[in-house]
Amino acid sequence: MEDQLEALTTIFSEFYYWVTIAIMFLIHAGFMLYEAGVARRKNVQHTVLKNVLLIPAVTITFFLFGWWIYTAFTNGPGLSGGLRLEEAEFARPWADEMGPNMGDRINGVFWAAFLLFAWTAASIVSGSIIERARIAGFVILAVLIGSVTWIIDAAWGWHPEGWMVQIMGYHDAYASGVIHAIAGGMALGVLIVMGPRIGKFAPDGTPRNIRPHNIWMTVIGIFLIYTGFWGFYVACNVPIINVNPAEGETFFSATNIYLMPTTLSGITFNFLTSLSGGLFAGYLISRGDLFWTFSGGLAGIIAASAGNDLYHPMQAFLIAIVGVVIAYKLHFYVERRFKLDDVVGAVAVHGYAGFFGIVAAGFMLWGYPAAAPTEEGLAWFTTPDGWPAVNPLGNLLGAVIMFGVLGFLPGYGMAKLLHRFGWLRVSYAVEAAGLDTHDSADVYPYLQHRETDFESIERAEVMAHVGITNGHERPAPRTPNEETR
Amino acid sequence: MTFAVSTGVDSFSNPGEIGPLYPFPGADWLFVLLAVAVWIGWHILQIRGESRENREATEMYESIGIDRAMYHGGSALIATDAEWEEELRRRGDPARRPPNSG
Repeated sequence: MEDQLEALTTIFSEFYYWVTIAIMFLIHAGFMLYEAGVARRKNVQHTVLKNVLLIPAVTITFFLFGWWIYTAFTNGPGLSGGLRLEEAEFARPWADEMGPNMGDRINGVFWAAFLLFAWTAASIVSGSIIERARIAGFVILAVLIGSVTWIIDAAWGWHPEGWMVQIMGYHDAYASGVIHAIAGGMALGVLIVMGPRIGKFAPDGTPRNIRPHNIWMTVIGIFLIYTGFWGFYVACNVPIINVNPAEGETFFSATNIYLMPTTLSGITFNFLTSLSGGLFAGYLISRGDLFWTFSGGLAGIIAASAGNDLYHPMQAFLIAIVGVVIAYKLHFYVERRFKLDDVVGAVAVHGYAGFFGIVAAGFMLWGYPAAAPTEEGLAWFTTPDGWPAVNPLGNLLGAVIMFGVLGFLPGYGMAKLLHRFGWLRVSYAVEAAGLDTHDSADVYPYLQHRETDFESIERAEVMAHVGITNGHERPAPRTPNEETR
Repeated sequence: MTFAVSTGVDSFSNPGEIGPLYPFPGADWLFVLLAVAVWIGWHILQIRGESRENREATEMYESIGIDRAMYHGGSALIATDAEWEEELRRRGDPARRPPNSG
C-alpha cells in the first residue's frame, strides 16, 4: 500500500470484517446457552461440550479444505465449468496468503467470517439432537456441514460467479437457504435416523412436553443469537465498492454478497422489522409461550433474510409473520405425524422458515439482477441488460437444493453410517441416567436426587420396555433405535 | 554480533518486499500434514474413548439398576445401598427397597 487512500480503504475493509467476526461470536455464546437451557439437568454439561467441540473441528477443517471449496466449486464443478484450481490457489492450506502476510490483508478475515457462518450451520444441527447424541458422531456431522456441504452451497448460490446464481438467478442475500435451510434439512435427516428421546411420545403416539431445565437461560441465548446476527448481516456485505458497471464511471456503495448494490442503512431497517414481525407472530401463535416467542423472532429474521437487502421494511415485517406461522404449524404437525423429536425446533425455525424465505424472495424480487454475468447465454431468465434475473423458479429449485439435496440427503446418509457403527447415539441406559451422570458432577448439586415428573415417566418406560430394573434382567438394547425402529 | 540462521524474516527494513511473516515459509505443507494427522487422530481418540465410556456406563447401570442410576440423575456418584436406604428414610419411603439389594 503506497498511498494513504489505498491504505485507508484496505485497512477499513480488513477492520470491517474483523469486527463482524467478534460480533458473530455472540451467536455461539447464544447457541450454547440456548441448548444448555433446553437440556434437562442431567444432560447440561454434555450438551455444552458437544456444542463447543464443533468449534475446533470445523475451524481446522475449514482451514484445510472448506475455504478452498468456496472458490474452487463455483462451477459445480461440471455445471457451468470445471474445477477452478487456479482461482482457488490463495485458499489452499499451504498458500502464502493463509497466514500473516504483508502482501495480503483480506484472506484471513474473509476466511474467518465464512468460518463463523460454518459454525452457525453446525450449531443449528447440534440443538435438534441434544440429550441423546454422541459427541463423536455429532462432531463428524459438524465437519460434514461446516466444512463441506454448506460451503459447497455457498460456492453454488452465495458467490457472484456461482452456477446457481449465474444459471438460475438464485438470490439469497442473508442466507435463508445457504445456512438456515441446509442446516434445517440436515437436522431433519439426522433426526429421522436418530429417533426421539426416551418417553417423548406416549404409547398412543401423543407427544409429551419435555420441559427445558431453564427457559430463562434459553431465551437469553436466543437474544445473544439476535445480537450476533447483526454481525452476520454486516459480514454478508461488501462495505464499499464501485457498483457502476459502465466503463470509466464510478458510483461507490455497499453491496450484498453478489456484489449487487444495497445499503447498510436498508438492511438495518429490515433486520429490525423482520425481527419484530417474527416476535409478534411467535407470541400470538404460541399464545404467549416464551420459547416460541423468542424462536419466532429468530424465524422471522430467517424468513425475510433472502431478500432483506432489497425489501421495504414493511415487506420484511409481513414476510417474517407468514414465515413464523408456517414454521410453527409445520413443527407441531411433523412432530405429531412423524414422531420427530426436534428438541429446539431447529428444523422449523431454520429449515422451514428458511425454505419459505427463499421461495418468497423469488416472487418478491422477480426480475431484479442477480449478479453480473460471467458469460452470455448461461441464465434461464435475464434482465433487459442480459444479466441473470431473480425469478420464482430459480429460487424454488434453489430452496430444494439447499434443504433437500445439500441438507437432508447428506445428513440422512451420514447419520445412517454413524448409526451402523454405533457412533450416533448413546445407549438407552446412559440416556435415561443422564449423559452427565457417569463422569461429571451434578451441574446443580443442591438439586441432586430430585426427580422430575417426566423422569418418573421416562424411568417407567425404560423399565417396562427394556427391562433393566436390576442386574439380573435382560440387558438393554444399545440404542433406542433398535427398540423403536 | 549477527545471527547466521533465520527461520523466516530477519529484517523489517523493506516491508514492501516481505511476503509471509511466519517462520519456516516454504515448509507450510509439513504443518498442514501435521494438522491433518491431529484432526483425524482426534476423531479416532474421541470415538474410542467415548465408546469405552458408554460401554462402561451402560454395564454399570445395568448392574445397579436403572432406578438407582436415574435417581442420581446428574450425579458423579451412584449411592451405596446404605446411602440409598438413608435417603429413602429421609423421604419417608422406607418400604421402597433399592434395586439389586437383596
